[in-house]
Amino acid sequence: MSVGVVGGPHHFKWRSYLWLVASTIVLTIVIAEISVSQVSLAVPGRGLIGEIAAATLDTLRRLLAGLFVGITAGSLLGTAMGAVPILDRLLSPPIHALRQVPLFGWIPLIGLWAGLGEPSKVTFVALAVAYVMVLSAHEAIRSISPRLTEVSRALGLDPLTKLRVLVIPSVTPALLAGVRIALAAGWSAVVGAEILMAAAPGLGALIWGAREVGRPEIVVAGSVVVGVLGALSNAGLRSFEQRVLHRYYR
Amino acid sequence: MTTKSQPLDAVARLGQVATWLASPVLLLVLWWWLTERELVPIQILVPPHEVFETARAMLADGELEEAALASLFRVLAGFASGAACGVAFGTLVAVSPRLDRYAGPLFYAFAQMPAVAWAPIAILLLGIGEEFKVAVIGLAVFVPVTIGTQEAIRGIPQRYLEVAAALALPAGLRFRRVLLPATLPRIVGGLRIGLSKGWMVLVFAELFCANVGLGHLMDVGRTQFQMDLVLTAVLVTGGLGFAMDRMLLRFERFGSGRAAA
Repeated sequence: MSVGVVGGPHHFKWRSYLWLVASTIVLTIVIAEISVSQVSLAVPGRGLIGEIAAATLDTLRRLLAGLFVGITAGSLLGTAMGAVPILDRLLSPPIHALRQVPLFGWIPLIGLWAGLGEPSKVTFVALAVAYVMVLSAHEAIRSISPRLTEVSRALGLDPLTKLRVLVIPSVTPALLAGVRIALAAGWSAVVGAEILMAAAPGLGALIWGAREVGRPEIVVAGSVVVGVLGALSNAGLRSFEQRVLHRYYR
Repeated sequence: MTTKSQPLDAVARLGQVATWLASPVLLLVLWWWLTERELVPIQILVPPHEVFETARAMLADGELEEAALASLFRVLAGFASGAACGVAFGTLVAVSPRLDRYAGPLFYAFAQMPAVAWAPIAILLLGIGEEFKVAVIGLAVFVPVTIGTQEAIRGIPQRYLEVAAALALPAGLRFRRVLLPATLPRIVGGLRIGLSKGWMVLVFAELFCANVGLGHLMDVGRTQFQMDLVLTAVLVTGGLGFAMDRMLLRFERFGSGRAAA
């Protein structure tokens, strides 16, 4: 499994850590400097930090709801398609055709169907996540080695044992990789949805509103929070993935 | 054996095509039936022929062409700049481990940021005109192309380089016969991901700030409750994206074929 990112964690040396920390500190100082110079503009009462924290919680809640629905639905559909050939042949053409629609093309459609409220936003995030998960679950099921399937049949394993010793170990790596791609898609979808379907709290809406009323410090600070949270969630998932893979796959 | 099995193959192939076509045709019939019987309100789902007619009318008065050209121009400008920077930067970090050590972590953090989240910052820096759209599309393309290029160059088998050195190939020949065919597939893989990200970001940017373009059409359709307009724009966007993706695949085959010749 290739890591796929320039200078991914396995390339890190102490010197690059130092570099990363130094650049983060410089960036933070710059942001703080901008913020302090404009602090008089900040909303009285809650303050900038409070505002960003509240928006972050809203965004995270939306992201988690979308991830949960999308991963469940996408994995189930992908698994069914991987396991039942006729389903695969029936569903693959429309799914691949729908994949050609750029993700944000769904927003006006969802907007027409269900308005721009909270359910629409979560649906959109779930859709973005499910796209990814259908494909990776499909791939995961098909990566089960046919020879091992034959062996398990010859041994007459009962379904539960087969699930435990054959299916789950075979599909886990591909599924975990899929979840990580889905997470990135989910971040992109949740921020985009909050910008395009405004009128709700959340980081995207906060950034967008701040841009419109001319408060660059909130735009920059909010974007940095999005980037840091995205990186942290990705790194967390990756270390979980590596721990699982290291423990069970040697 | 081959002659005997040919009709069987043809039947099997026909069966495959039939199952392949079954679901789109079924969906289309369902769509038509639902709207014909008015089982769903017209605001929720317009009949298929209405979408077709809208598309034809818009094509006739040049509206669709204007929007598609504006969108295509933005995607191409963003894609060209993002891909050029990505190939250049990817090559640099692939050949210089030192640069990778210094720039890698920053790039890694940069890559984590969803492309759409750059839009507000880009607007602050560049204003809300054409420049910011091209810049955000370029950023979205840059990340996967850099990764693809770096992996492609890192992945050149050492043996190939050794053989090329042993044969003392001139630089031009070495590039054409060894480096290009070894790296092209992965670079094109990065370009294809970049292109689809570019289309995604384009629609995003056009949905909230554009006077012309396919995303703008979708937004107009949504605010005026004209679903035929939304669907037309979505279909054209998907079709254009698909066509450009096929062209990249062609390019890869063409490049590899020439290198092998």
